[in-house]
Amino acid sequence: MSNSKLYKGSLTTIILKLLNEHDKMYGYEITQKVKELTKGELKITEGALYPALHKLEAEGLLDVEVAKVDNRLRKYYKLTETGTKETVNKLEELAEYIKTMQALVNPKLA
Amino acid sequence: MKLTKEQIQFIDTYLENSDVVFADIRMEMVDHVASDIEDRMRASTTNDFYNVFKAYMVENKAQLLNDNKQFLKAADRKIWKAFLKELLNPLTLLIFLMSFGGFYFLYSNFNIETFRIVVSYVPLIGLSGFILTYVVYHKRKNLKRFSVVERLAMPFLVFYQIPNIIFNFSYQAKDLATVLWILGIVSIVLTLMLVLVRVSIKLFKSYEKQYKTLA
Repeated sequence: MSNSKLYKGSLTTIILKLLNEHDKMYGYEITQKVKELTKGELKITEGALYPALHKLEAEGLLDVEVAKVDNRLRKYYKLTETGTKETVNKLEELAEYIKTMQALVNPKLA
Repeated sequence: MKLTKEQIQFIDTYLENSDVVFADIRMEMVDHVASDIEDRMRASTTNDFYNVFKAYMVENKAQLLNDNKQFLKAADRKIWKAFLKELLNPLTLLIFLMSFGGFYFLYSNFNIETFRIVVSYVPLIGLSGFILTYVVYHKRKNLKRFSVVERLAMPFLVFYQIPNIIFNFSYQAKDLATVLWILGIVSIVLTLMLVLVRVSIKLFKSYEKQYKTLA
């Protein structure tokens, strides 16, 4: 994933946030959406994305749906009810983390 | 620009020949590779699929094969998660109590030799359950090879070995306390194997639901 190790810990939150805003998404779509939103600053590799998606699926936070699209099968991921609740928690955690870092790095803005 | 059915099949066969043998893993990889190739072909002036495919693989093949290993690890995690969930099902306790009761009945009403013979069949009961499920879904229902299902063979083999050890130990069973310990352990192992059979049926069914109508 990406050019910076700092993003690594936030991958789960990024995935959950994106799925919270879209009904369902597939792996490649997630990588492209992140690239687009961050203007190419953050590139999620499939080596980081799919293990994270499968982990979230095994934890019951994501549900999967397989559909035939453009001559091939596509696996869509969507949030479960637990996943939606967890997204709120993860986003709160991230906001808190950003606030703490802000206080450390730039106290005037905190 | 969308890839044709033949081009998709080409990617699928290429990945299968590169040891990505499980259909569920390959399906997600094929979609990822095809989507990327479609984007590259759209962005460039060339429509030559094979050249774009070759360039993609030179750049990403090592990563894809490494992803295959990650997928398998995820499959193992999924098995253990499903197994633990099934263990908490009240039916598991019922199976254990019935096994224990059945073995105790055997011990009380027949001689120790009969008890040993039954214990020696315990591993086969569990293993036959898995093999039967596999044959029904894989051969008769014609489902493809799925990672999570085939990785289930490992815990089955582990549980298969435990009763064999107990079976040897049962020759030393002289007093009631030792017999009860043996009864307990054999019942636990039989319960674990039957839980695994239930997990494998559930996993097969979920794959059947997800993929069969679409394949």
